[in-house]
Parts: sequence; structure tokens; C-alpha cells
Amino acid sequence: MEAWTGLGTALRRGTLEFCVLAMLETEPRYGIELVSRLAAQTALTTTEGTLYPLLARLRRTGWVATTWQESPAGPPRRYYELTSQGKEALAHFRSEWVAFRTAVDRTVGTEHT
Amino acid sequence: MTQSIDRLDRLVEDYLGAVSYACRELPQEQRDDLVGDLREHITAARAVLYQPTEAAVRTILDRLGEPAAIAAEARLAAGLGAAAAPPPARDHGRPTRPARRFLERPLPPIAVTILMAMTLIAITMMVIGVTLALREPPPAPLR
Repeated sequence: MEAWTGLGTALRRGTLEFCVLAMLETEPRYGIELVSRLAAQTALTTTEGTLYPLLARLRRTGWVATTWQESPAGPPRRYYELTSQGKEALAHFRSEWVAFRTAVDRTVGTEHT
Repeated sequence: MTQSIDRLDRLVEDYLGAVSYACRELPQEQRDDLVGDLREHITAARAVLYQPTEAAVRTILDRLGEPAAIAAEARLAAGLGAAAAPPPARDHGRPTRPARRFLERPLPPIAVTILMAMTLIAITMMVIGVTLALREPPPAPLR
């Protein structure tokens, strides 16, 4: 059971940040919106709070940029948007992912599941 | 009412304090950044609450997750590696327990019996001693 939990964490590691980038592809979103959308996909995350370190890292890497905007209710919100570097990273991930997924499916025997 | 809002604020501050403490190995700037992000999240989530009850605020904090789990993630994101990290709370396996000190372990029944017997003997001897002492000096014989 311990090993299974570890597997989920290991699979998320390295893929989750690109899911975040993909969610920002069409429009900028603010932190809590991003976080609750991702947390709603139980396979992608464990708790909402664990996504903030990831967002901070994406900011530091320069794949996302943030701007503060006034909110209709409550305090100003920090909006995340994809930078051109982020777009490149996402495109690169997509091609890598397809090759990776295909190879794993073929090896593990999950092509038709 | 004001008092109860203060209590909710304290709940939030305690949580953020716990996150900050769990992240004490991180550079100050990154720790402040993370706590700031979480504070913003909590403020935004509280702003849309129908009723600011303690249960509602606790739900927001529960969904954010255990401070230790967030800290473990932050360490990884900062490239500090997982080796120095305590086991994240979300791994519901068998946690490695720190060695307990002797007195924290419940004593075996035989030790309890011996201790009780020794206490009884000590009390009995004290009573005998006090009784003998009170008898002194022996009543002077009448002449």
C-alpha cells in the first residue's frame, strides 16, 4: 500500500507542472481557481496546498508570469498566465509525453485499456 | 461575534505558522512566498463563504492539507531533495516511530505490582516508626 501511494506521487512528479501549464493555455487564471480545478482531478493531486510550491517554482522558472488584479469580491487576486517560454515547454512536453505514453503502453500491455 | 471572528483568524494564523515552521529549512524568501500564496487562497476562499463558521474555515484548511505535506512538496520544488524531509503525512503507511523513552512506555504489570508492594511496605514501616516514636518516652512508672 505504501508503495502504491509512492507510485502516484512519482507519476505526478514531472507531469503535474505541465497540466498546470495546459490549464493556462487558453486564459489566465487565479491561484485558487487553478488549484481547485486541479485538486478536483483526484489522480493529479493530493491536497490543494501542495500545488502552491509548484506554482512558485513555475514563476521562478519563468514559465508563468503573474499579475495582480482587483477582484469583484474580496482582496486582489494574483493571476497566472503562460509566458512564451512556458508555451515552448508545454509543446515540448506534449511530444515527449506521446512518445513516453506509447512506449509504456506497448511495454506494459495497456494499449487497449 | 467579534470574538468568534478573532478565533477564526487565530485558526488561520496557527495553520500558516505551522506551514512556516515546517518549511524552516527553505530560504526565507521562498517560505514567505508560500505562506503569502496560502494566505491569499484562504482569504479568497473565506470571502465567498456563505457563513463564516469555524467548520467552514476548518474545511478550507483541510483541503489545503497537512503543513508537513505542503512543506515536503516545497522542499522538492526548491530542489532540497526529499532525503531531509520528514515522511509526508499523505503516505498512510507505517510511519517510522522515534524511539520512545523508558517512562513513556507503559510499565509491565509485574513492575507495577512490585512498585505497589514496595510502597505499601514503606508506608507500613513509616506508620510503625511514627507509632514507636510517639510511645517514647515510655510512661514513667508510678512510685
